[in-house]
Amino acid sequence: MSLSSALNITARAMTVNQYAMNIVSNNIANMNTEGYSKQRVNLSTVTNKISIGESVERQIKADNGVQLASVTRYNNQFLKDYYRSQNSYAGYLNQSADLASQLDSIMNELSGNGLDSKINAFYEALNNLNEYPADSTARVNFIETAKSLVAKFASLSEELNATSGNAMGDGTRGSMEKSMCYVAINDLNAKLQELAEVNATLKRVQTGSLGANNLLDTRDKILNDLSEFYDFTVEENKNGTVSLSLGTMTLVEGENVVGTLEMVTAEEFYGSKEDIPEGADKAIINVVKEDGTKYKNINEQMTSGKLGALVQSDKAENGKLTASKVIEQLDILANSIGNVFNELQTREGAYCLNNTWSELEASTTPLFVGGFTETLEDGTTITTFKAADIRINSDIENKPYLIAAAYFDDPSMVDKYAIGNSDNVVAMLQTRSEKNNPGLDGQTFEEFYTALVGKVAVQTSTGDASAEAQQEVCNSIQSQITAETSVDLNEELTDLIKYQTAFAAAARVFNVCNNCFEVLVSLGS
Amino acid sequence: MVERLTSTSTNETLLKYTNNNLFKFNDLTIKLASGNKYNTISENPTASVNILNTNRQINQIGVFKGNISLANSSLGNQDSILSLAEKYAQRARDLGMQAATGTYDTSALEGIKADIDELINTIVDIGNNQYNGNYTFAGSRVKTVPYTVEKDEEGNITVNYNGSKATDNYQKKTEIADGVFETINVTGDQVFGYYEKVQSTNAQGGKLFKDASDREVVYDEAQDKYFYTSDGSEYTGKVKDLKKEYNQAEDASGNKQFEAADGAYVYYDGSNYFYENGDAYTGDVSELNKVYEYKSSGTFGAICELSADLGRAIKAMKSGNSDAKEAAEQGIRSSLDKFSAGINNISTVQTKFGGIANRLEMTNNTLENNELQLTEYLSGIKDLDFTSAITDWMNAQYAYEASLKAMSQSMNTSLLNYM
Repeated sequence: MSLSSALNITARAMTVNQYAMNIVSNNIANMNTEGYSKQRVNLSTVTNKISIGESVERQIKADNGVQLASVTRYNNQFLKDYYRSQNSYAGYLNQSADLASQLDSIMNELSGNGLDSKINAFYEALNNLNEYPADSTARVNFIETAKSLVAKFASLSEELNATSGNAMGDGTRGSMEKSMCYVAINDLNAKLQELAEVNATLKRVQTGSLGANNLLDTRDKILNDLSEFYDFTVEENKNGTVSLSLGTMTLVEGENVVGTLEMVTAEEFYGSKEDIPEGADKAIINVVKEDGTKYKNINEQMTSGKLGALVQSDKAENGKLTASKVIEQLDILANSIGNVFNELQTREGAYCLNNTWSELEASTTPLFVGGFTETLEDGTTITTFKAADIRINSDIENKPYLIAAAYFDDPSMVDKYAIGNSDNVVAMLQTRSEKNNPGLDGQTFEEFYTALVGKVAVQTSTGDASAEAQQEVCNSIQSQITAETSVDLNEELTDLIKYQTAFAAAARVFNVCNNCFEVLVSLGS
Repeated sequence: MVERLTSTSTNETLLKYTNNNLFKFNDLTIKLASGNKYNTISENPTASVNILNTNRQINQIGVFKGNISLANSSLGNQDSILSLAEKYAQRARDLGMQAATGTYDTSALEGIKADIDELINTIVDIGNNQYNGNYTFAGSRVKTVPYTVEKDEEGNITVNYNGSKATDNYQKKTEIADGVFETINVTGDQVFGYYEKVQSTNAQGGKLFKDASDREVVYDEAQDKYFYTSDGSEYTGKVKDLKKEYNQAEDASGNKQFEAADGAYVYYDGSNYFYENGDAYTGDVSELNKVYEYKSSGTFGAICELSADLGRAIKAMKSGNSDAKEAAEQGIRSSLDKFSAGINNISTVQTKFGGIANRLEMTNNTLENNELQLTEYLSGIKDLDFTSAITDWMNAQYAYEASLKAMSQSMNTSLLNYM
């Protein structure tokens, strides 16, 4: 044992405590950094390798003291993995709820400016026409309300169509590249690259060091971000890196990105428009491997996370109302209204006015046009209207006298001067309570629409509720993780004082040793 | 159980709760500002669907109430018009009764006839009443003048009805409740009647006319064209230049009826002219005027017949033909009998309208009652209860302020303060 050995111990103690203060200061500096985990200095005594049987004197002579064993970060791997899987689900629900709420805001009938109010106005104008069938004001008014009704159909259909393209595009490249899914995939590919880079660096730094811990935090954050997109499988490798895979397809292996996601339109995927199978998605996601080969069409596997919600957004499963499904329902309604009114307008016995507004004439001009007409084998024609295309016949618009207000069930009783006859308008008015309309399952026009609005509302409301509940789950896991791994100021300050005291004490010991040395040196003089 | 509590996690938790309070506060503020319980349909789907349904029903009730009010005002208008017509018809009958006593001299009778002719015009004006730009009593021919008056060379007045007929089976319907329609008009022929010359027809029922050069023309209704009866060629002139051909009246055995200058009726059996009692007519045949066949109905039928019979009585008195005067006075008495039926028609319609008005009133009461209940119900599901909302809002505000205060105070405390 020597005096210099004591000096060495104190010097080392000062260095170690200084380093510990370094960690404390890093903790304090990062106390507000997202995803930062508190790091902790582990100290241990220096133990020399001493063989059994060595003399006690030799054992005492050996240098002891303190050393830096490792720097560990506070971590709860189980909670973090749990968080990621729950976060994927939350990503899925949030995205779904987000898409559903777009329908909700389009169909917001409570604003008093919805389709419902247009149908109301339409029937009100029809009622007025019943009072004054021969007056131009009543006729023009009716045409105007009918116009605003079809305009509302068109705008609803257009907005819904735009919404249905929001997620995956409408089938064209341009629209796909603006879609939420395309943006998400680009984002995801960039994150895969980041993950590979962190992996590469981690391989080089020593585990248990401050730098390595910081990198682990960064990687956790990247993995958290990735979990929002999809519930990826993460596996820890022996060299400290992780591999990430989507089902059986590995995307990141250690420091290499071995698979990236690619999104193509259905037309590009199947070769041509004609080859696209019925019910195919508008855009297809592939995984491109390093060597350029592909795992083709992984849409089916996209069932979780934000990506899952986007890919599934237009699939009407289990009665889910997608934007396209709502458009379909609106089409049915528009078709029903169009055909019912056209039938009344042009049926036998229906009469409009002539161009001098003074006599009746058999009516042949349909009120609604823009439908698709097909001729059946037996020669009858069927016209199908779509919400987007139904409009008012411009002939009727320009010549309001062509509205067939009069009706005679016995053609021999026709009185051509009876321009005040409004029996056809009465029949039109009665359609409001008519439950037997084509395609509406025994509901009146308004009941059908109200039911549709109700379904959208219920869907959005339950979607919101489950997304909120899942978000709450994530938040609570997150706050548990925060509680376990975040920096506490009191703790750090305590540590700081602790290490400061140790440092000061070591310095004092150093001084004492130093004095002893001086005494020794002066012994001979 | 959390094993460790750090300043970061407590701060986050505090922030979360404060945020919750802020959301609640904000939500209530928006509700207070809009006055609505719900601002998007997904907030409460059931209530939203109810709001939509109720809104629609209230809107429909509004339309029905508008219809009823319009119908009521139209009924009121028709009722007062009909009362006037009844009054004038009564007056015509009173005048006729005075004339029928046989105590008046020629000039007094002429005065009475002039009065009656004027009354005919007045009632025609009433029959031509317009309401909101449409003729009230023209049935479905709302833009056709229902009554036109014609006076022929002999001073005989005819009142032609041009509106749609009661027998046309058309009724104007107004919707007064969901799917319930009420008829609120009446055609002129039903209420006032008419007095028209019967137009001659050919064997097929085609109406006959004469063109400017006295050639006979027949109207083909199916083709809406006019043809000459002689050669079947089409008449290409103006329709308004055509003159209607009328049926001459005949007695029971088919003898053509004429009126002599003294007002007596003369019959012609194809070879001889003779009076009603069988005596031969010795006067000038060229002085005889044809008597036409008339379609007569209701008040107009009674009053026009009265006018015609008065005219005959005046002629007979002027010429001193007592037989003819006797016959004309007989005619006056029989036309007076027809007045009761005519006036009865008018009051029947008034009674019917009264019944409709009562029904409308009842329906209106029901609608108003429904509207009130629906509005109340709608307000219950849609409108915010301000008292409780304000209370909640104040509470939310206190809670939010309290959480802010708690957060700011607790975040300041750490060991740092004591070093």
